[in-house]
Amino acid sequence: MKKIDYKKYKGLTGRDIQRKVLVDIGEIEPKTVVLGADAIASGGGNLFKERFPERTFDFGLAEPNMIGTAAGFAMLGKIPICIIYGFLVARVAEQIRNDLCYNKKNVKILCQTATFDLASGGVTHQAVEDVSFLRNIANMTIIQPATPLEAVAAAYQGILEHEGPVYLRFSRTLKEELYSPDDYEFQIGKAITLQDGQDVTLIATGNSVHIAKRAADVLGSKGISVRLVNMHTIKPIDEEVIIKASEETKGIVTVEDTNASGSLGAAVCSVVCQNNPVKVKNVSFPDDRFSVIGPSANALNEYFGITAENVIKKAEQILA
Amino acid sequence: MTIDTKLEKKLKNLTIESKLLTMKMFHESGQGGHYGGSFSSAEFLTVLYNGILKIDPKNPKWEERDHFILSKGHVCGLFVAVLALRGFLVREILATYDELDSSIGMHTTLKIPGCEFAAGSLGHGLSAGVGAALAKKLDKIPSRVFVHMGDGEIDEGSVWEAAMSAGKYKLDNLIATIDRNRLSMEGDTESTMPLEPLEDKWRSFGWAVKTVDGHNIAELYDVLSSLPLAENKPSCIIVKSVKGKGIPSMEGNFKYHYTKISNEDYQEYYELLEKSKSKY
Repeated sequence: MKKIDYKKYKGLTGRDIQRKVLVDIGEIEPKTVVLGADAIASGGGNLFKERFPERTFDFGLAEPNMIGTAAGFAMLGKIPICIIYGFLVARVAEQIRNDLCYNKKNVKILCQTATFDLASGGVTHQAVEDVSFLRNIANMTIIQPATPLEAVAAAYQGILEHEGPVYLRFSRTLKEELYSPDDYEFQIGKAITLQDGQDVTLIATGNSVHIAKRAADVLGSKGISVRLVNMHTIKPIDEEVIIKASEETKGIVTVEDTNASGSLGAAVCSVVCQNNPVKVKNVSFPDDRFSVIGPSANALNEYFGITAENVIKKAEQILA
Repeated sequence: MTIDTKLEKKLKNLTIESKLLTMKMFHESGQGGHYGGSFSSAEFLTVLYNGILKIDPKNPKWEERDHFILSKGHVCGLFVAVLALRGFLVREILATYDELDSSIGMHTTLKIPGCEFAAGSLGHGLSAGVGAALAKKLDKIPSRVFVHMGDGEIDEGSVWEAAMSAGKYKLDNLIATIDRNRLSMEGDTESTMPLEPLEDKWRSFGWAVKTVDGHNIAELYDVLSSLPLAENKPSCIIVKSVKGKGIPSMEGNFKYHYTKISNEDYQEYYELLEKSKSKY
């Protein structure tokens, strides 16, 4: 595939990234179709729909049928992109498992609300378990970009290059950039080491990469050498980077806003335990509880301790 | 279209042959099998594969083919028997039923030549059929998509989500067929979850509907060769059938939904079916 012109996406944030990327991908690949469940515009599919109305299908509030239908489209060689709210992954888990993953269908699921994007929506509209549901399914790939440019790269590669089901877990709050359009390189399954260090490793994913970055800066100012890893692909997880961190630093703090028991935290613990046991601490949404209503994602992150302060505390505990 | 006598006779014999192969597969595997739903769908699948579907056994992925999705994936035994008789796979494969990592077993797999969709968990096939039919419309491919479901299966809400969307998109290249044997795993469908008035339900979702006698080869052939039932509408064929058809003790008995039979019963049923074949 030709190199992505990242410059044309510079400055885009949140759903504007999806809007532009989807229509551009639609131009590049005529086999793409966008499927929605009465949430195409809100999920960033409106420009695609305006440009390619005949390739846009709305199945109403019936997500299981949308996913099953995608399997049928893929049977005929189409590349369906299903727009779905993160919290609805639970509803369609069986369709994703059987119709897409077991049946090896080249279908993309574009999650349009990650974790606390719909903070005030409360428990029913927040998504802290979706990654857990999907991480256990064979043939599934899960990508969670941390920045606008990474979202562009994930969409291009996940939709146009990768053959098979992909869960693109895009947050509406993607804003802060960490990369330059001139030298950004993305590869599904290959974590990006944002900074090298020898004392402790922070492995983060999605929006939490920025929390980890702030923690790394503070720890750095205290003279601690911090390795910071952006694990944009949660499945398949980059085992090499994790093992290396376990060997070259004294321990690992994972940082995510999903529940660690089924997501990044568990994945890292498993790799570390089986290869080179060192201390691992998780900063995450707490296990075995539901969330609460909140005014914003930041407020909920604070409430549940998904903060730079907590990352610093856990890193210092490892080094103590 | 009226069937000619020669073809009708051939299809009747093929139906019995498919039942014999199915029974042999189940019994010789040492496991049980879904006898009831296999025998209720036998005439239908035989007519479909030997007189209706545009398919090429030598080229299962032929681009112009009709697509068939077996949504009631638990009649995999019958399905592979029909595929074997149609030349999609060699008969030796049937002896591997339920073996470790076999391509064939209780439910369909993608390893079966000519199997478009691996099913088993119910209520999945019609959505896939809607997607395939939409993709064909988009690319102006004139072939059709058939989806065969069990009647108990249509308790699943996903079936009605799919039915609604097929009506919305006026998919006259989509044909849903329902094996209406009136028995699901644990009893009468009307006491488990009433489905009637079934024709009205599908009509109200925007489908053209017809009920046929599922054991009448001529009637099945006539209706299935005159599709779609209406322009700009998906077609729903309610295939009235008897669970366990052909073996008197199985007929209409939900206990034969899935069961293991004794050697004595196997011999008796086998001979019974063989005898009915010689009638033609």
